[in-house]
Amino acid sequence: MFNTQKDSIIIFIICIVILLVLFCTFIITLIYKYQKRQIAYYKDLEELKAFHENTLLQSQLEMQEETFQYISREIHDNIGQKLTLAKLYLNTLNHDDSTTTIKKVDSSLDLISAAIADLSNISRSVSTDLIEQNGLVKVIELEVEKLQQCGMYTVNFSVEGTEVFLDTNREVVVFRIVQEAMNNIVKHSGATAINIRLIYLGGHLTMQVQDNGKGFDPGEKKAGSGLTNIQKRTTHLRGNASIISNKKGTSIIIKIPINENIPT
Amino acid sequence: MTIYNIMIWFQWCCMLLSFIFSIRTINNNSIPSYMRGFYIYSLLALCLCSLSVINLLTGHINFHYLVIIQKLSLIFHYSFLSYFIYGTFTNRKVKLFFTPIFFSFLCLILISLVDNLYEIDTFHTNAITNLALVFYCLIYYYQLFNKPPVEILLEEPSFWMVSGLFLSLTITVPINSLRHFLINHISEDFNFEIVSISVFAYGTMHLFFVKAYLCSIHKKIVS
Repeated sequence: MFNTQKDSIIIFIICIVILLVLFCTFIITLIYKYQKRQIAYYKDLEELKAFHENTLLQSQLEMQEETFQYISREIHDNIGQKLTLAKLYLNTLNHDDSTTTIKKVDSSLDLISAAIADLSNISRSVSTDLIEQNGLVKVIELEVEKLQQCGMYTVNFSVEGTEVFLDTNREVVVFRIVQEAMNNIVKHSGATAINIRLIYLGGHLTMQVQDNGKGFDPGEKKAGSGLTNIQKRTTHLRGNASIISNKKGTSIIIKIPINENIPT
Repeated sequence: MTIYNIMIWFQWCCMLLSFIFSIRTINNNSIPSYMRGFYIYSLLALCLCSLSVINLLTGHINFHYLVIIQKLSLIFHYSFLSYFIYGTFTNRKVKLFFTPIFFSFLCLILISLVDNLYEIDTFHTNAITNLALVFYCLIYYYQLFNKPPVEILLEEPSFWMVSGLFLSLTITVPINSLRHFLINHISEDFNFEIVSISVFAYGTMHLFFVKAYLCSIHKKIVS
């Protein structure tokens, strides 16, 4: 069939060209499909990132709003009341009756001192300076002491593992979670004993706040409660939160990675 | 000079080039893990091709020795390239399924070798070996589309390696399988043209390897 060498060369070249064209078509199609997929993938990734950032921003705003509400409530219900009462005492001073006047001035002084102390407490609880200076463990200890001083609860606080100082922003969020959990216990649980554990282990910080209160049905709780805030804050820290509750009490467990920064 | 001779020289040049570039990857810990040790394959391929070249020039090499070496090299060719493709897999399930498939094909290859122990031609064994490797290449492509995409595919060494393999194997599988048929039904003279196509495919495969070596070295410099 192939009598001359020239024929065989032509046949050979034709075969090679056909094979190479086929292969090039295959590779070009492959690369085209791959790039198409790559574009779609990065688009999805961007959308996901934007959604995540949006959620973070929203939770940050909610946290901020909540802090403002707390300050406003404290000023209105507590400090405002004390100062109003002090003003009332001072307005009703009768200079002719020195005994009553002295009593009223003393009471006003006490009320103003209490208002100053409350203001200082508010400032301390919302300020990050204390956490920055003392670290998370110390501020939780102070919070525990404060709760114990009221004499209604037995609070046990323990730290396991070597304490790792997180970024201040992260420590503040963890502290807010503790405050929220303790606030919930005081407001709703009717508990007498509280157990707080901080565990630094394997690159993660696990925090458990447990009480012996009446518990609740997690399914019945509506969004906007303190528990939702805990969930949001934990998500903000790129961690996960689990809330277990029954008639014997409630346990809130959060687990967050230690070496990860959060947007400020 | 016949087409076959030209192609043998072309293949030898490609393999030499591939080996030269592979030297730069020796003791280089920055290159991808699946590329480590690949220079051994390039070196052995060059040695085997050099034997063919020497045989072409002098005709003094014992033909039976060449056949034995060729048969042994088939097992090495299959095992080495399978191991390389296995190294590029990231999916756990794929890795799990790969092992039994690898050994099944290895058994088939060994059976085919033993069956044709006294035969000079190794086309059928070649066809089975290359078919198995084509199958692994297809798994690689499948996986490529089922994992998060790499930034630039054309700078991915594994892509060039597997593409080179895929090119040469898809050409050699039908050639090796249908070689007897083609020779018997078309022309006996066609034998050398068929072999030349296979030789050209192997040579081109090594050019793809050169590109893969360049990509891995470039990747190292960039990082």
